Amino acid sequence: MIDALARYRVHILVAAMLLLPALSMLLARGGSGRNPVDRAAINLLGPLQTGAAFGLGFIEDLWNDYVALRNMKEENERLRQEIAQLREERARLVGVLQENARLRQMLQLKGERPELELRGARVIAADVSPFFRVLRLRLDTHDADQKLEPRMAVVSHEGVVGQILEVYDDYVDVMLVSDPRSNIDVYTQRNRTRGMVYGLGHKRDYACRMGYLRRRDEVHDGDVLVTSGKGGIFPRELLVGTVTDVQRKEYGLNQEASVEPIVDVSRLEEVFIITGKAAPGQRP
Amino acid sequence: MRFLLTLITGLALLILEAAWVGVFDVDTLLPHVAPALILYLALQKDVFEGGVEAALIAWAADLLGAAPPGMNALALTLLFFALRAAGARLAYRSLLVRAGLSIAAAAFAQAVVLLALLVTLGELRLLASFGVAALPSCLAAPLGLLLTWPLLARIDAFFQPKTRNLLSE
Repeated sequence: MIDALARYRVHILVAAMLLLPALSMLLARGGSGRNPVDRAAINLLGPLQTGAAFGLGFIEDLWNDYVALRNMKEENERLRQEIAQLREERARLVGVLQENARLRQMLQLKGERPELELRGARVIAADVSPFFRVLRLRLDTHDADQKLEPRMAVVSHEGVVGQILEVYDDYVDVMLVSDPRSNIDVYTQRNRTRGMVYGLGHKRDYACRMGYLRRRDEVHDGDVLVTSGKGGIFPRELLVGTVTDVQRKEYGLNQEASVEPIVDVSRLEEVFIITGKAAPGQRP
Repeated sequence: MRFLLTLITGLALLILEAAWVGVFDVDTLLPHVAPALILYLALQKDVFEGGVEAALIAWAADLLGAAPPGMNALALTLLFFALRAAGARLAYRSLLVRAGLSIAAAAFAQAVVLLALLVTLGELRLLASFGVAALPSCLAAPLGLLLTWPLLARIDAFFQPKTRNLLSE
């Protein structure tokens, strides 16, 4: 018997291999589902499958965490770069907006004073001397017809900046109102009191002084000073400064007042040079 | 011992494949481990040992699979016999040929299951599933071959009797 089994073992195996699955299929078709041996085997395999699924799930979680962290890091870096770029862009846009606003105000000046022939220039430097208050300008356009000369008035949309001191092809030096060499004939806007504004040359500020005021002239703090048009440099009615303090002595013919220039020179970027010969003295 | 180790390895790979599909919800990159195991057993082992191992692997695959009972086992058994029949004529030493064989083996097993389903259920629309899903998934069968063949070959090599070198005596 054992010899026969050994001799036909391959045949028996082949038969078993084909019959057992077929039997299983037939039993299943009969509606009885899996046989008890299958059920027992599946119950045995269950914990192994659970363990494998748990292990792979753990690996998947690790992988997902790693990928998520990696993505987050990359995203973080990308966002940092984007923020830096946007900040830079914002700063540039703010600069452009501010320049735009300044240029609009300049255009407004042109609109308000159409009789003035203006030429644009940009502040590029300031004199470092402790005695003088001078700015260097670069001309916006090179125009051979508009010849620039010393003593031409320089203004901004706020008012008087100063007058040209020196002219170099595309650059000019401007003596500010606060330069000690500067003298501007002015009126008070309120009651047309006449005086002379001259610079003090202070390094710490751009302070000026108003002199040649008669003792009986009524000048108060806050009075606005405008150019008188006399002197042949500045047209009439350009704002020069504001009276901040009046010093009336108990004796003497004159009184004096401290003046704060109307133009904040420390923030000045664009100016106009008044080039028209007929400009000084004209009424607006 | 070799027999047991081969079975345990095969079973572990089948369980891992089932878990892989379950956890990662993969339906295209199926390694088709069972046909790959049968491929090795049919081509590398003698008919009796390979047959018994193949029968048990086929049964395990049947238990782990979702097909009606016996269907996977029958398909893998038929695959084993087909490979045994063709084995002598197959020049399967080349990796490329083995890869092609693994795809063919997976497709054969799927086709047998499909045929069995058509016979038992009579649903012709299953043909579309076979064309759209089953056959394309067989293209990843070389992955199963890469997993199974080296492992089983190593087990066989480990239990192979060592040839003695006269010079080492």
